[in-house]
Amino acid sequence: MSIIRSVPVFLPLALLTVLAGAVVVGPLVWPIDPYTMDFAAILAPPGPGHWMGTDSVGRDVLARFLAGGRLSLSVGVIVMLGGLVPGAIIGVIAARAGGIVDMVLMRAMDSIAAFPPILLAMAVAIGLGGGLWTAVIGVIISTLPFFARLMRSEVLRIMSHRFVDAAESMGATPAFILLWHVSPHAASTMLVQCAAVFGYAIITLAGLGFVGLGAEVPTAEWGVMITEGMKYALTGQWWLTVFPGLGILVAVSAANLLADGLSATMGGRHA
Amino acid sequence: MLELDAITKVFRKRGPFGGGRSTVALDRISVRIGDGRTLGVIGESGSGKSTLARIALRMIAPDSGTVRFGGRDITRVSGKALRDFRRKVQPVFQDSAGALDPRMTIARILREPLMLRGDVPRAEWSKRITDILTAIDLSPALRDRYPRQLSGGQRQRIGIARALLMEPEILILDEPVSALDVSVQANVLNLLRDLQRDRGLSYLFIGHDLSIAEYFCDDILVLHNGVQKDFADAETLFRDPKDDYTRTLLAAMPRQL
Repeated sequence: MSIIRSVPVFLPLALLTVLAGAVVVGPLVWPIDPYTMDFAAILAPPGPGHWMGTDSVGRDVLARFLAGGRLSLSVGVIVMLGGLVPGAIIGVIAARAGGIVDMVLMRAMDSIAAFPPILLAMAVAIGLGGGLWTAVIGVIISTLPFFARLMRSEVLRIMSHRFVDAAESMGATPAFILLWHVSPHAASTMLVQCAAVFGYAIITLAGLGFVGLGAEVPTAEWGVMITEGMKYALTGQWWLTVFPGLGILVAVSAANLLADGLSATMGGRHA
Repeated sequence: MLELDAITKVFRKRGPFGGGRSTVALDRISVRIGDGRTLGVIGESGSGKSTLARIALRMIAPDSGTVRFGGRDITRVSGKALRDFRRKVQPVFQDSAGALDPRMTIARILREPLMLRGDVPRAEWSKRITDILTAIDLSPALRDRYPRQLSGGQRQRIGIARALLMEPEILILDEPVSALDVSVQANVLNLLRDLQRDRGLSYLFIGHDLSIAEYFCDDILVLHNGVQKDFADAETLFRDPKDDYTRTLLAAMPRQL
């Protein structure tokens, strides 16, 4: 894959890989439990024993940062796949069926897209009783229109090419055309969308955790950690909010840069 | 042998409040493509010639009239019967770049017909591809290139090769050389002639250039606004055109000094 060697793709990808590696391997080399309270070390500043300090009940911030990162990156992947698979299927069905089916599906997607994504995710989370996983479902639903519309337009665009007419003349079935011709072309476009949604999912779920509709206290999650640390922002315990904030910043920026890099690098190669 | 009998096709454009206009693309057109022969369909843009090609390929169905292939009525077949027919009638398009999937190497493009036929053992694919590249005067070394790395003439040859791998009886040549340089046009036309002789192919040649049709076609149908203006063998048509429109076309042909 020569595309990986281009700088705008390589850099954010490397950043995400390092971050993912750190949160996966981290707990093995940093064996402090993120939920163990140490009342002897409350609100300790970053130092030798606690590299990112401790919080108001003496929990190690680095351990919580790593656990939170694992959670954030995992839900990012879950939302990405959870939106991609049904969204792409809806898009393919709409494009292939056309007519009334197309209209009904696309108007349904429009109705979802009509709500600001974060409000929709909040409404779903509240409606389903709250908590991280209801918020994940809400965010997945809010990403469906992006995937479905994009997939539909990709299928229609690719199917209009002469090489598809040629394939039909050779007796290709619609399934063959989708697999052999459409999916390689659609894959690059969908990949860009996946990278963008990955970043969007992380920041939205952290935001929902921050306002108390996503992950709940005392879960080690970046949004929740910022909420808990807020109280101490004005009294000088900056490490409670800055480290999880940096985690969100790095993960989301890298995902968005990756999306931009992928689309710029692959842009010239579209049919 | 492919016979089109009294083919009519009307395109309706629906207006926003119902009603709307309709265009008669083809008005009771009857032609037959005899075995090993070349039928030219000549007309300006909008004459219906490409619609006729699409009906001959059964990419679309006519509103009325029948399409017969080897005596069998295939006007309204669908599913497997339609796919079986399509294998025997292969298109070659004007836009050689659009006709080839830009993400695939030449080898992969040429593997597609072999895959879709399903009667050629996988072990033979590579040899078949080498053979067909040789048959169209291209180096087998091109198999690892992408379409964008080839010239227009080379791409058009690949399009022809892909059609030939289906072992068709008829090629529908839709303006096959219009997009090519004049020097390359003759090469591709000569190749098509050689292939016709060696493989007993029949051609439906769609074009707008009478001087090419005179050189390339056995019989010529002149279309204008979906109506048949003239239908005769090439020699008769040029010596004794029946219709005023044909005479106008002939008068517009560049003459050799």
